[in-house]
Amino acid sequence: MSIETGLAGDMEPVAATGDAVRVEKLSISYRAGRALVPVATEVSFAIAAGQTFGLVGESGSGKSTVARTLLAKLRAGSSITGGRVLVAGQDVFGLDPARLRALRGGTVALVAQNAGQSLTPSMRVGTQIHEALTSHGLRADRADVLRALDQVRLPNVKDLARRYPHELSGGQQQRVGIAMAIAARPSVLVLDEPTTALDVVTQAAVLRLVKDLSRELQTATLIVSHDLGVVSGMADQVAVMRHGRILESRPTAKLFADPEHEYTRQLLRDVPTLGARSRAEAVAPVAGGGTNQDPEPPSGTGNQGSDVLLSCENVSISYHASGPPAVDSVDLEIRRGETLAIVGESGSGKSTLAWSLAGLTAATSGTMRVHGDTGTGGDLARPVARRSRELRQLVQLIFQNADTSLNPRRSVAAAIRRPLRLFGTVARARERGRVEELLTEVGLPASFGKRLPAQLSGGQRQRVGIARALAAAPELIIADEITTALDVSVQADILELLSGLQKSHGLSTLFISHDLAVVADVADRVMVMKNGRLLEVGDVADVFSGPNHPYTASLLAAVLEPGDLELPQSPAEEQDWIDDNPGGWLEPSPGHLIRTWKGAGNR
Amino acid sequence: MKATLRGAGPAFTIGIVLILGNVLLALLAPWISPYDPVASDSAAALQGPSGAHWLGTDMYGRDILSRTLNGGRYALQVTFLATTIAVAAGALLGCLVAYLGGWFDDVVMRVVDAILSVPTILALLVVVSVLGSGMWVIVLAVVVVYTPAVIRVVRGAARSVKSLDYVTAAKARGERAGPIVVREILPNVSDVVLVEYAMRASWVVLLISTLSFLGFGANPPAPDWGLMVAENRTALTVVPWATLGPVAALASFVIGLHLTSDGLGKRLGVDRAMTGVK
Amino acid sequence: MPLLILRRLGSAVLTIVLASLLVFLAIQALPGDVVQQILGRDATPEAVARMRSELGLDTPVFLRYVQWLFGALQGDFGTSLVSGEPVGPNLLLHFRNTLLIAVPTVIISVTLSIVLGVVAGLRRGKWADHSISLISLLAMSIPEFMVAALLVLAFAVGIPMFPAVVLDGPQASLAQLLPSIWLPVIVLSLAMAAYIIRMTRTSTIDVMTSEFITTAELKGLRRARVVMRHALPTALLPTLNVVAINIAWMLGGVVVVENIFNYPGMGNLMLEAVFNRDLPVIEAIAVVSAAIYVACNLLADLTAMALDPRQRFRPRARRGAGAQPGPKASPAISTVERSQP
Repeated sequence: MSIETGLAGDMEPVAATGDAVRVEKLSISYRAGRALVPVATEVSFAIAAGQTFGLVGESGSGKSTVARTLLAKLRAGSSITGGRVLVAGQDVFGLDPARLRALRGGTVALVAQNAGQSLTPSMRVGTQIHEALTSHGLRADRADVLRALDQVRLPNVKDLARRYPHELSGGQQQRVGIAMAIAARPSVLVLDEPTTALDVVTQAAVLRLVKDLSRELQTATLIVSHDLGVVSGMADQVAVMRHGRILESRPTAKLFADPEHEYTRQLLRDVPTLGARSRAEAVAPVAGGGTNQDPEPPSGTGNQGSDVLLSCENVSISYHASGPPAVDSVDLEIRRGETLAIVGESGSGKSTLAWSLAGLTAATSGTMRVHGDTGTGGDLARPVARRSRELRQLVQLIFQNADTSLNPRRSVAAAIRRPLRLFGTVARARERGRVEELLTEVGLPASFGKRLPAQLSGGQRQRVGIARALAAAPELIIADEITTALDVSVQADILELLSGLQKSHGLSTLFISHDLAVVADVADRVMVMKNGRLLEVGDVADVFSGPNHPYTASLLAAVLEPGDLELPQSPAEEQDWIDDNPGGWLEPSPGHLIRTWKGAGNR
Repeated sequence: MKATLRGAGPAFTIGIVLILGNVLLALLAPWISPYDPVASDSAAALQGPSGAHWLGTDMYGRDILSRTLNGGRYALQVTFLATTIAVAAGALLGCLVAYLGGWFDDVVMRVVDAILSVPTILALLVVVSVLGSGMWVIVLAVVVVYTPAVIRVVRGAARSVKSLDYVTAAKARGERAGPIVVREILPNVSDVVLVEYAMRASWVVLLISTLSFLGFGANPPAPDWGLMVAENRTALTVVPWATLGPVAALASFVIGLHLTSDGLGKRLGVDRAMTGVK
Repeated sequence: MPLLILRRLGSAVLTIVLASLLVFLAIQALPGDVVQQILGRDATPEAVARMRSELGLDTPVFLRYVQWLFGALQGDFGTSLVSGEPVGPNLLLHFRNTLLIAVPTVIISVTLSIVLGVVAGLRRGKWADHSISLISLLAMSIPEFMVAALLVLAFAVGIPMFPAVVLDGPQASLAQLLPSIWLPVIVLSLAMAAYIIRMTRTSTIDVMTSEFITTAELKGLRRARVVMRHALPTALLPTLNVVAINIAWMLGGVVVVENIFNYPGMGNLMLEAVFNRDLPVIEAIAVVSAAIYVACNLLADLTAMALDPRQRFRPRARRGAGAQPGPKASPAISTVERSQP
């Protein structure tokens, strides 16, 4: 398919240099009161047609601000303090209103991070695509709209065009966003964290789609991400940004093979990877009784006795009497000192299970027995109000979002002191000293006790969250996506802290995550959940080396790692298996259990 | 608190000055008024502004300036009492309802809806017609009418706080409802409550004056802004200040409250205009 | 969706019934004996007892309420203690007259305030915004009785365009009343518009800073289209609720305005009834007002469903919502909760 540059806007043809985009010594400042705070400083790069350029950096590095200048968009209060942005040879900030409209959506198109929020809620999807075409003087009848939706490989486009954004899944919304962006055949595509809000499998499929489309349309593409794996798979050239400056900008392969800047090297060290663990192929579906089929549910491997801290049997949790349960007959076992990870995408029931163990949601059926060190124990199927003090103390929860897990009106010391007081862990006179000890233990100065949560960084808040959990002197820590909201370097520190504390205190951990690489890093054993059901459980080494349940295999295949220059080939986005009810379990190696399945009928 | 209020803007400062000015004048009125506000002098009736009577006199020859200065005492007193009680009760109940949820929430909110469905002035008139128009009856009536509205607003704010992780953390520790409401929820809706207070007060003072205007609030010959307007509006062209004086005072107080709550809202991130209506 | 509408309808009816019960109890259970009031302090106990049974006051409160409710459902609100005539027809007449003020007020103030509110929101920080905001601040701060007095001075005394007070009785024909409605309409419109303007302005500002508006702008759409098609449907949602509540508020506002202009509407009837402690009339007016309030809110909800597809499916989940992990709720305060009076 051939593309005419500047089809919609009457722009000059591509400048002699051949670069579709040139950013020259761009500096942007934000006005805060009387001071000018620099957001970007002397940023320069160029993108040729058909090339993809990656901007990678942690939050606050200024990467999104720079990306949006390609559409001549600045946040209110920001201004250009130096340099210029040339698209097709023209300075975008010098355009008159008509040409600016032609640039936006016509020459340069944006795919934003959260399609759920960037589609207009009160307009049908088809209408929004339609206006993207007509506003750039393109002929657009119903067939053109459907073709645009078809191009991003959406199913049932006729029906879909009539729907409202909230009636679509996250992946579908993002595809609509892409369809809208490429509708007017732009020559430059700006992708601002395009897959951050998506599950791994969907992410891989969406990235594949974008890469194919940008190749097909020969666009100059700018991709902005905090995820080194995403940039590595997408971009031909990558620039690393920090504090508004580009630290190094090199071809992707070279950058990942031999990073020059110390910060880049640090980033690459901090990113957890699956590492040497090989990508596994799924074992063949089993139609009937295999020899190694185990009819017993996987309640561990006969490790009964004192080294089992928590054993759950047949746990189901439903929020509504009708409808499928959020957690469906799950068995699990955590041994003393062990880290068990649960992975799964959103809606898999992993957080519900964790919250139930913490007593926040009562289990609908099943037992959850905990056997404490000191002879304490009991059934965690009871909600927190009906648990004994010892039982409540035994299990402590650490939250995903450190910003909201601390009461903004209470000091750090007050937050940590509360469980001390409630559980009577230490005498009142010793409370102050204990708070300081705990702060030191999580790597914070004791003087931080006086601060309010707003005076701490995200990583520091998460440390306080950990200290608060430790204050109760628990035996089981439930960590619910505790590093999801953090930058990689901070994530690495927190994970290290947690594993250190776990060893020194003899804690067991239930680690909930959607990130397989993190799990590979921290867990001893791993459980894979989908739609509330347990699909696979086993030692991390076994699960990551396979054989696997096809779902686990698709998860593993979708992982993007820094240095991988290719995206996974055609990831299986459609589920190609169905549950084999009532189903048995395969045990390819001791302790590694896989639920049996059947191939989907329509294949 | 000082740190919270810094950066609320010049409008906020003007608002505070207007409120404090009105309150101060009302408090000091007995000492700074040139005349006894209820002493009539038929020889000096309906006079224009002069050196002796800066704002003139009304039809009974009473000094308008003295009556205006004293005219806020009743309204401000009732406003302060009623608003304080209504907002305190509403804030506590609103948090409790939001936290407990379930049937308790259903029942309370149903009653709240029912009370809110009767227009405030009608509800007030119903109470006054049954119990008379003593000051405490009016305070009680305003509390009954406005507490449900405060419950509603605070409940809305508290429900979003309730789903935050620090409340969940407290629940998981096994804290009881009391400490959770008092320690975790209430402090985090205090900004909403503060803005609500300023705005509620502005409506209450208007309502009280309206009630006096209609003849159900302060009793003649007591000096009161609403009553003064009722008494003097027919003579608006003869002694304009007898009507304009009290209205200017009342309006400046209400504007002060609006500016203050706007400033507070802006500074604390509470959307004041979202609270909308009387 | 039909189920959702049905549920809203059911809860609306329940609210009206509950409101009528509260008013009934407030009037019947609070101290102060009506009969004693009517007959005076010197009445003999026999006369009091006879009248009590005539008025049916010797039956238990709850039974009386049920009787009253059944009567009210058939349009029978009892008889006035003062005139001895049935309450219903008289109330209907006054209600008609009040509608004559209310309908133009709603039309004028809603149109005007939505236009001004959106303009102020779009021109945030410019002079148009500042002047609109200032005028609405003044309109909110000056009591209606004063605005009315000033208008009378200007347009009835100064330039005699409109009558200052109404001299016709409640039975006057609409044509007779028509010249006298305009001053009351202006007074009520000013007060009502002020609040709707503020709400519309805020929600316009909110929506204009949202992600989907940025996306629409960056699609290269014309500003007019961005505002009209993308922003307005969402921006007007919270305004709807405020409009509904203000319409109900106006029923209170008419008390003052009708008093000043001596307009023979429901508000004046109410004041008269309160002066005379004519309880059946007070009760009937309170219940009619409650019904209007609830109906306005219901209408606002239904309009919201029409405007915003998301409202049609959102279950009004109350229980357990806080205990579910999942998308963490934003700490922002829900607009709907905050738009209540």
